[in-house]
Amino acid sequence: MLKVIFGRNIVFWALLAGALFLSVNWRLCTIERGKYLLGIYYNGHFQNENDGTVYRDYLKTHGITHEFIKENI
Amino acid sequence: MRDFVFGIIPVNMDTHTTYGAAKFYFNNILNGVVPLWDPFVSLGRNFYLMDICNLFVPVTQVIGFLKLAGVNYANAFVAYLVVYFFIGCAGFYFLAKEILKNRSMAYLAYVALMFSSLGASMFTQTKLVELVVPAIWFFFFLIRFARQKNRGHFLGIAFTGMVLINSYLPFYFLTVGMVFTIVFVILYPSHARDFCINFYRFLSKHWLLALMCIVGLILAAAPLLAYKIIDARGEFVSPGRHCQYSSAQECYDRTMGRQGGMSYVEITRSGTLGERVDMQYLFGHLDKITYGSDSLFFLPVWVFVLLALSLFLPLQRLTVLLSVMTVLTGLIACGHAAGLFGFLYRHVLLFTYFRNFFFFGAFFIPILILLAVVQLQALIGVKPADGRSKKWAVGGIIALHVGFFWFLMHFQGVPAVSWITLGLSAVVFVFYYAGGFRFPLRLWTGAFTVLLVIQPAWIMRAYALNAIEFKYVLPSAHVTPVFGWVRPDKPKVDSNRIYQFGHYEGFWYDMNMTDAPANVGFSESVPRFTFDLSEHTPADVLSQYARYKIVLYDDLNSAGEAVSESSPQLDVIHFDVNTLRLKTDFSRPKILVYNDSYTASWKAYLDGMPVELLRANGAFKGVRVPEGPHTVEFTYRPPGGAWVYITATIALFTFMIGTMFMLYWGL
Repeated sequence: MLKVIFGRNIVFWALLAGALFLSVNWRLCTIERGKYLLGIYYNGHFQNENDGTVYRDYLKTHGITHEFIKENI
Repeated sequence: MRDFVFGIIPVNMDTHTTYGAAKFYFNNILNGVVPLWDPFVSLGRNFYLMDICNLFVPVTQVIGFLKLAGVNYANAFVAYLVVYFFIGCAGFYFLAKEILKNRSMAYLAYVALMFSSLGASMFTQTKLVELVVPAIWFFFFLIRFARQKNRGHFLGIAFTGMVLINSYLPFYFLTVGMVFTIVFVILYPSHARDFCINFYRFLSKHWLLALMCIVGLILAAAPLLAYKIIDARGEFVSPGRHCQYSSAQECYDRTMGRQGGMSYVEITRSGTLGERVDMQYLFGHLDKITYGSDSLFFLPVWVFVLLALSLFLPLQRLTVLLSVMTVLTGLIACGHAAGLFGFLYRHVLLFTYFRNFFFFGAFFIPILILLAVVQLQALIGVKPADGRSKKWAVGGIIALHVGFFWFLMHFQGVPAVSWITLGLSAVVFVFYYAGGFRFPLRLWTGAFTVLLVIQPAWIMRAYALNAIEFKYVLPSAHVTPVFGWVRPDKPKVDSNRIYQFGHYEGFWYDMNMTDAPANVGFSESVPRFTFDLSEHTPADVLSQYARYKIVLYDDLNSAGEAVSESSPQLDVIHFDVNTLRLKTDFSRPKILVYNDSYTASWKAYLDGMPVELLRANGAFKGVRVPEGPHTVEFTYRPPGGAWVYITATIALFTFMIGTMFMLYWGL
């Protein structure tokens, strides 16, 4: 019975997802993405010259503001 | 996508870079010169992109042939991209057919790949296509060889390996291959053992073929090795790679202190998967992606629906293999945000040299599609026999769709077409489990194709509409370069500025083969002495001095005389990107300084005889010229010269034809 229960995709994928979730520093990913979106890497300023709605949505969703960047990066 | 394919919307981002390199390369090839040096930007530098832009691969030669047929370079380049992508899609069909043993499932895998972001992103990030296409064919030949050990399949493995070496950096494929090997050996130990034994037997029997393949791989690797030799000599530095987020002094120290290898921080500072891909954009806001964002990564939503529907299916070894490959590659791609990469960086030399880990994302696309199609095959294999089983199956499928509906609700901006796909999917599966499985599979394949295609087709339409505002005509005319005595003061490209990032503008000059202003700036590759000089000289002073390509001195202590045009005393006999040949007739001995970057690989000749090449004014080339009529020549001769590239191209052609021949005749 246990073999039937544990021999399902959901159990294995849950284990993998757990391992992935615990192995990754998600906050760091968010900060890096914020830096990228704000265009620091490419133009040296806290702004992206060309991007539109999607990026603003992202920053709003993740709480990455100019102040956050200045304080944390 | 029509506007992309026909070049109405120009390529952007890194594809723009690759186009710049391809235009420069084929333009010079058609002028009869293998370009090794780029005299137009950064005061002269090596043509470093030559080794990483797929230029020697047979399919890429389409650009040159189409140009000869009258097509302009930009359209020829897009034709190459599209052809290359469809070769990859075809390879994926054959690979899926080998794995799944089912043509319908293979066809669905092919459709899913075609409608994934891989197709759309080739116009902004062609590297993804260049990495994945040969990898798909490599795995196809590998599986074929494992099942049928003939010479054609072996040659196919060697040929795709050669292409992979030429496609950007083989690091990405090596990493995925390494992950695959480890997981495969653990999951299929007996298969792995049998493969090794049979492989050894094949090599013993066909040792000459094996030797030939090794030679082919070495020839294909020669351009990259030649580049690494120059790199190891320290002739060139990469301020664009070493200077991110640092002070001027730190930038200088780091750039001058490193040739090739980058620190852990430099590698992981940018380009990680976490930086470029966000879970939010797997499902939401897909219709708002700006053309020019290299973060574009999506799969048809039905691929994710299939994965959700298969949650309660029995676990297969193939599912484990593909899932673990995805997670391990993902962890590596996360850079310093995950511990695995840190471990590999410290213990495996390979990982100290590369970055842009988000390129691994390209491999997720075919892996996840295969995973989903494997699950679909298992899902349609469930055929409830009695009424009670049917009720359970229908109830389960509705519950899982509701679950996915709930999951999607957590994302912002999910396009309506995704909800429609989810609803249609529920209807199709309910009919299937209610007894529709008795109909032919071909009928269901049609329905599954619709489910796969409607959402990405709508997103691609939105993407094209976003991109339609991106109007610009890329330089695409054939150019015969003319030696300019004076570099321009101001950037010529300003009025045409379309580039999202400033440092891409340099390629505009390469495409037109015309001189950029005399500055160094942000760059991926600059001769070491030129970078050093630019760091210690005020930009306006350097710019004013280096405006003039040729400066004459009576002796080491005299003031220089800048030359702004040809004269009976000094004229250009020949100019191409690798060589400058001058005719001189001075009334007294002179030191002639050519304000183009000095490196040790440049040679000087006087009347055809080698003479000492001076490093003049810190970073430039100089030669002593006696009075009277003479011929002075400066030529760039890096290790291996043009032959490295010519032999690599010939080897790749030969192996491609050999593979096709052997496969055709079943040898």
